[in-house]
Amino acid sequence: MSPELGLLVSPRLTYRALVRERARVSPVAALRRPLLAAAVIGVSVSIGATGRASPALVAATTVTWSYIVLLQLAIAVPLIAGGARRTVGLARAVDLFFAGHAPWSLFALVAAAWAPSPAGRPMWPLVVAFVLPIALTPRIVAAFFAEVFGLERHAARRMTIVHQTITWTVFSVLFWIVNAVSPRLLELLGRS
Amino acid sequence: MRGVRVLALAAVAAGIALAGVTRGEPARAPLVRSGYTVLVGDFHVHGFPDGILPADAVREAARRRLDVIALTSHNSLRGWWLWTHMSWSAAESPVIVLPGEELTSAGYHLAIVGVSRIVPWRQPLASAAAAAHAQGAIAILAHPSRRELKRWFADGALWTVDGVEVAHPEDESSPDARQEFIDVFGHALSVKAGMAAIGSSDFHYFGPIGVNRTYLFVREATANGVLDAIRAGRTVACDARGHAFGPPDLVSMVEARCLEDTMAPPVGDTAASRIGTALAWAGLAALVLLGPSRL
Repeated sequence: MSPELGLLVSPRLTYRALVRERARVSPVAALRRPLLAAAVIGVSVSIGATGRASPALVAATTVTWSYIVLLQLAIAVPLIAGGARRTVGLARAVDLFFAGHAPWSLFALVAAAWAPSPAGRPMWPLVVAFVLPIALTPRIVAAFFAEVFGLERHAARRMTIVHQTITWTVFSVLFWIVNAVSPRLLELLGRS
Repeated sequence: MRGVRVLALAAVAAGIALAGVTRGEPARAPLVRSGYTVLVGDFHVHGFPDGILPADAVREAARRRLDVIALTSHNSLRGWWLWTHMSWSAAESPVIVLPGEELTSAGYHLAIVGVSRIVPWRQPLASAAAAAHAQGAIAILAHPSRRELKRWFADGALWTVDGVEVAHPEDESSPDARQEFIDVFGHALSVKAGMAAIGSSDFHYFGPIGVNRTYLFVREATANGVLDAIRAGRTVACDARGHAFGPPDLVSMVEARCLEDTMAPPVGDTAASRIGTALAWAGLAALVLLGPSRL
């Protein structure tokens, strides 16, 4: 079983086994998984929006939408670098951390496959699918902090809450601005 | 495992290359009816970051046989700014691109087209429409609802808008939603006889652009010609199933084209492109599950 699949099924045991392997990762090699995540988003947006993944479109969407992965790196790296009890080097820790991106990457690919339909499709299957990465990611992140940082369960949970709170706040603020959420919220409040 | 990873990576690369394969197709002769040129438009198109780059949206619009689009970012001219600052081929675009804003307010959304300055959202519908008109722009009620309609009826605001989205992707969510758009448009027509019927895709990243479209009877194929046609109500909305809405005489002139465009594949579409896209998707899915390398 690959590490990515292992993390989906049993994150704690998988991270424990990976940390024991003591492999070395260069800083450049540590970018492979973030780059894969960026490519997945680029291809998914291309397919979702147009139904195809042509070279120019994939290049443009991968570059522009890579801000998502850059933000994820900007949030995760300081937390990982500041971990006093980290058991592996920073580059390998980043590599291990991004191995836990599979739930969101798979969701993006599923959403892309579901989206481009001329007569439209119901959105509820995507809403259901959206729950999976939301549920799986904190579990994987908690296992990362527990095994890669050697933290107790409570401390790992605290780190997970910090990471997830920062991540959701940053992306919610972005979503809020881009989609003009303030007037929609006012409307909802006015209705109730 | 390494061999499978290499295969997956090769599938992604080959798939993306194949997805770019298109075939040449002769340009369609412009449709002329009763002395008007018929253009096809989508006046509700979002760009990055709530969509793809405007330059890519414009290319996709041409592929979907659209002649005109409006870039309508939420409460901003971001899409238009990106188009004018980040498009190397803007001057040679085969598609007329109009500046726009989706004015997202509490209680209504307006697709304002032809705008040059942002219309603020903290104002009633009638004054927002007036602010759009003061700039020479037009105001289209975006995805209206029956509940909102009652309020607009009460304050006479419905009279101030130029068009109503009667065909929108949300009408696919349920038969009731579809009927709701038709009812609102019917009410709008009873208030203002020349209300333009608008079909829009509300394009973000769940395509396709132009899935609902507007046929415009223009005197000249320019931005002004397009805005004039909407002001005069010389439009027909076409939904994703090929149903046409608007003045019966205009509908009869384009309903066959509406159905034909709905069924037609994108311009230059090839089996290689479809297979390539599927291959790239499958390759990426495999890479995500296997990981791009050992850990």
